[in-house]
Amino acid sequence: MKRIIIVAGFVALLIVSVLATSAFAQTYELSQDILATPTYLHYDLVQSTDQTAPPIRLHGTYDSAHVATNPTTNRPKLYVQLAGRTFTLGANQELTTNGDSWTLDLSRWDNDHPTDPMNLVAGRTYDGSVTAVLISHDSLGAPAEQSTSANFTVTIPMNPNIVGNNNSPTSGTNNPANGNNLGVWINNLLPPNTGAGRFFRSTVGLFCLCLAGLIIISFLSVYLIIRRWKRCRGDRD
Amino acid sequence: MKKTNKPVWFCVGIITLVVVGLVGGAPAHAATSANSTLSQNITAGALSTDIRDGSNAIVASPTFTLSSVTASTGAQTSTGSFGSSSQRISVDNPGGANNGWTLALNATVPGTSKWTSGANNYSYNGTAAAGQLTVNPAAGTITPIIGSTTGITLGTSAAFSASTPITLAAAASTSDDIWNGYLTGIGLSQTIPAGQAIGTYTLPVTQTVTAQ
Repeated sequence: MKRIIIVAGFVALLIVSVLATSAFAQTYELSQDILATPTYLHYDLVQSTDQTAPPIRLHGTYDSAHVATNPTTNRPKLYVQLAGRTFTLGANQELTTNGDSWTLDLSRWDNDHPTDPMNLVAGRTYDGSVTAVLISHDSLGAPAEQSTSANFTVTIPMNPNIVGNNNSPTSGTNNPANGNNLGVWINNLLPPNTGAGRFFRSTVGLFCLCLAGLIIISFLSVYLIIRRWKRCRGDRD
Repeated sequence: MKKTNKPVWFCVGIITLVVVGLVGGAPAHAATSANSTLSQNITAGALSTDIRDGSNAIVASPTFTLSSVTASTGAQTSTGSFGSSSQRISVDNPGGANNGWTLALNATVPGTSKWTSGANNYSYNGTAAAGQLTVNPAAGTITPIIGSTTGITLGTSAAFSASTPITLAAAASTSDDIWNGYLTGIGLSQTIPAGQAIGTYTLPVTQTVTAQ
């Protein structure tokens, strides 16, 4: 019996000794998110018969790999703002995506929203921004939403009927060689013929009419004065 | 010769016992105290390390994340913290390493592992331009649960190079033979190469505690 106890004791000591002197390790992962902020790249213009709204399309990129999903639309949380108006992916048909690219197509806006015109004026520069809500991870690895955005400006071209693709919003403006006419050109210089733009146009028209009247009256007055002066001199002679 | 009457005496004896048994008889006399010895053997446990939460429970899938960065055409640096109140770097020495121990961190495949996201990757042990992970244990804190901090020191800041591990903490032979505690707030800093593609990159690492 004693022998059995002694042997068991030695075995136990051996096991404890081995465990105590061996290394113990644990493996896990370090994580690192590299995200991309959304960008605005360029605009292009499409053929349109609508002379009151520039048929413009904006193009840019976003981080489709990390973008969060909008629970309302079940689409990526991507927003493009232009001239104070916000376009939401999944809620506004003008904003679409393809891979890492987004497009804001305003070429049919006035047709699709006749009671809510964009009022973009040719030659003017508008502020815009693109925002994507991305999912990154906090220090403990838990997912967290992070909003990233980029600001940009777009100068609406003077000749919206030009079909092209331009990286520089200020180039490719009015060019008569492209079939533009003076009426369209003037039309594009003025605000759209709706709302405040219509009032502005009416005021300008009335002012021009008054000015013309004043000029005619001035000519008539001068004519009458000269005629009377000549008559007076004839009577004196 | 006197004749003995054995059957008679035997019967008398039996009857007496029965009577005494029935009546209850006098109580038997026994010892009022006894001495005995309980024995308890306490043997040394195994030295171990793992990641534990605030309740000292093992975290099944610990993750440590460095701060996110935005893709850039220039090199940049991301920082993080290794060990927190909810993901403690725990060491348990229940007498298994009386001469002290060393806690070290290394890539799971030393020298070969890379930060990887799909087909993209960068180094943890390269140059600063190629990607290099620096660990700063000196920025951390040792919190003992059993025992004291005597003889236990944090490692110094070092960058990974080749396949060499980085020492997070070391316990000298003067430290408590039975010790349990944890580390938090160890600094991490990773350089990210210029033009690195977007993605969620991971690097498998292993922490090892070794008896001296």
